[in-house]
Amino acid sequence: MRIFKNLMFVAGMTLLLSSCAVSKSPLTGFLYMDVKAPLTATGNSGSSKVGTASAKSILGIVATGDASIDAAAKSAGITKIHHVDEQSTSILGIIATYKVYVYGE
Amino acid sequence: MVNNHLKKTYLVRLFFFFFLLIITTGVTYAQKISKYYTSAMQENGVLYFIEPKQEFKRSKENCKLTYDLTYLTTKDTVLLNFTYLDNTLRVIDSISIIHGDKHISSIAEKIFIETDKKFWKHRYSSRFLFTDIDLLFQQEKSPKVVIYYGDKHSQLGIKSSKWTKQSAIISKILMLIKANKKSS
Repeated sequence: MRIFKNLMFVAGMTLLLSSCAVSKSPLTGFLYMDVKAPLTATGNSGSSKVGTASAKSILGIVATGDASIDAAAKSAGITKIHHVDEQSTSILGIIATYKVYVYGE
Repeated sequence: MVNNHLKKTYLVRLFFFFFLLIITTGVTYAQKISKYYTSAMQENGVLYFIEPKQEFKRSKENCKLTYDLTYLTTKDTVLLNFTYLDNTLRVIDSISIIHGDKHISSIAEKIFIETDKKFWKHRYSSRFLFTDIDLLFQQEKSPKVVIYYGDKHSQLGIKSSKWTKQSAIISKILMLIKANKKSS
């Protein structure tokens, strides 16, 4: 009986906390999420460089990182942005990451 | 009483099944190579961005190096951008990769330098031949990375188990790039 209660407690806590660590995404996946989506596009033509920047959240309690377009462009030395994509991943709502991909020259 | 016991056993089994399903889903998705690269169609070819989850280290001084690869299919060279963490501020001149008897080197161009707590974060850019990079990831033995600053240098290594796992993934991505190049 005690084991059953403990298991139900763990399951309950998992369900309760899993709704916390969520990153911005057009779609949501409760168990697992790995979604890439467009963020923006400019009139500049062509790209030869790609830069990334990311931020991470744990249980929705702690969230750190710089996932700005500026940080991503800076990481590859991009001065003319062509387009920007975003990627959101989440595992059981325990760990969630938000990543920005900047394409440009 | 018996019914209650059966009900509990059923629920415990259901819980473990659910738990195993989640773990299996995570592991299955972790093996996907699409996690490690992106591609974008350009007027002059396809632009690939590969991000190996690899970290070269020099344990004594706590130095670390992470890198990413950008490749436009119409070019012969691969852009290798790297972040080098060191306790001391360095002016990096060049980078070398040693695998077996072969050394491949490139001039390093500074993108920016920042401080991250007690570390200096050096972000630099270098270029290598696509054929050299392709050959590098086909090696089973883990390579060494050497960072040159002035007349000094820093050599960093990687665990062979991590190299084996990652090089197989990157090698597969490079194979995919070559296959697409042939068909275009």
